[in-house]
Amino acid sequence: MALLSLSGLDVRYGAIQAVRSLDLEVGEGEIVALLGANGAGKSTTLKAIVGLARATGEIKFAGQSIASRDTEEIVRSGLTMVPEGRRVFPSLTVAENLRLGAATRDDPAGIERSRSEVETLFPVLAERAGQPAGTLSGGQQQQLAIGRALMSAPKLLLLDEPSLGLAPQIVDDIFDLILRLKARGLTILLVEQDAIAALDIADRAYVMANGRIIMAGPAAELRASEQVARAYLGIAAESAA
Amino acid sequence: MIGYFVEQTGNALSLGGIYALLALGLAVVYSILGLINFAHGALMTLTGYVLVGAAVYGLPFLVAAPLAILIVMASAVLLERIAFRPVRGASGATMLLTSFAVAVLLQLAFQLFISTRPQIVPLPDLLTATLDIGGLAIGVNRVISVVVAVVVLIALNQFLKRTTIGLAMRAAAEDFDVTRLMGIRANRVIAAAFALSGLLAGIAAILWMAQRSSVDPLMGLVPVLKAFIATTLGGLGSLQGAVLGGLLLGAIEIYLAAYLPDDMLPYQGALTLGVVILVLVVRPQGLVGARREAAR
Repeated sequence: MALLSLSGLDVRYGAIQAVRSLDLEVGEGEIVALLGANGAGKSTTLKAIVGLARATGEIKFAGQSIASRDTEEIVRSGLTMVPEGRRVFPSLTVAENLRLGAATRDDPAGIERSRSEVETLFPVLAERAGQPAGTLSGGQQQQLAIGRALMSAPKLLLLDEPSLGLAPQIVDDIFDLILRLKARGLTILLVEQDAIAALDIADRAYVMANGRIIMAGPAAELRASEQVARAYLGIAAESAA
Repeated sequence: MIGYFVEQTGNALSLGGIYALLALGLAVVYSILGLINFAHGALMTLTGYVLVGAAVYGLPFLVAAPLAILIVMASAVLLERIAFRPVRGASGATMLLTSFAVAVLLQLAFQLFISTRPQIVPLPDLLTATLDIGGLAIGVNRVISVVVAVVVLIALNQFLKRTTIGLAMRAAAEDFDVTRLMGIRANRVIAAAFALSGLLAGIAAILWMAQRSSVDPLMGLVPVLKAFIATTLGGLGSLQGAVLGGLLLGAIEIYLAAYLPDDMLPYQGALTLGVVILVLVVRPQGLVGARREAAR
């Protein structure tokens, strides 16, 4: 059974329909990529899942409907999102950011375990623990944003454009990390503009355009597909140039 | 001359400390909600009436004061629940008008159900005594004001650094949506902010009354206007700015009153605001400008 399933999801911003009757599934232990050009509705879909955008339709997580719940209750049920642009709390220290990531938990031993796991994954966060998060570099802030999300010990992690604005070397590191998280049993829904990089690590992928899913399938197939290359990857290559 | 200056500095710190506490109360709420709560003054006034009422029942001051503060904290939370939650996320103007409406309603309620005339607030004799320090007569109330303000500021700083809810309040001031993504309940953070602002209003009110010994329906109006000026001066939405702005405003008022020639004294208020305007012309964002706009 799917860990997360969306069916008939609609999101409107005033007169604009950002997401139209979208169906999507993420199975336990999978990395699923949600691809598409700027404005296709990918980020809006993630926001709808965590309750930060108002949506109609069905959203099920671990068998429970979460569609009408508040963001904080959704997060408490075991999924969380690393938002686009990282959005660490700039004036709070690295340690304080991480501590807030575990704000919903009350088992000190478990929190301590998560912290040491995060610090093993991202040694720089231990080195900079006392520093305001706003003073970190972009790549370090992305590490902090992911580390902060991991502190809540989620079952499902939504990643919104983790590569945005980062140097290529750092992007590689982040994608390596996503694979390592998967190996540890985490399920991941990844929104990415860098389709090629995302398809390299994903099990399956969906391609969105104008608020709809226009294609879906195993990542390897989509990578090989001429249609995707024309319809989507070509655009990505162009905008990267 | 030196003695006079020391005495006036004591006055400046005591008045500035009260302004700082009030400004902090406004800033805590503003930083999270983008709401300037003018009903803050009514909370001060309420503190006074609870003290008056407690005396009628014969409660000693040391019981009445914490009781008054608790009631004011609860009232602040209740105000949020009844009046401000329905306009959460509305425009700044909507929220501002709502807070004016609440302030006026409470004021009218005080006038109708209590009295338009000032009531005597019974205070322990100690508060009205004066100390003789090296030939200087310094009011105990002034000393207590400064000590209490310092203790509260230190405690607040620790609260905001050490407790999860304190951290959550600082985080919510920077990015409310992401704070909710941490699983932190928005309503709880906002209730905590109002409770904290009520605590600060209650403490400031007691310090304010310690120098006046009476309460009337409009008592909170002027100090909260001053506190609003102080938060603007320090930088709207910044907690450090609120403290700095409060202390600075207190100092400007006291030193102008102390050192202006007699025939200039009527202009003390105008000159104070002139200095504030001058600062804002040079630094429109305030002394400690908050980087982000607060709005929810």
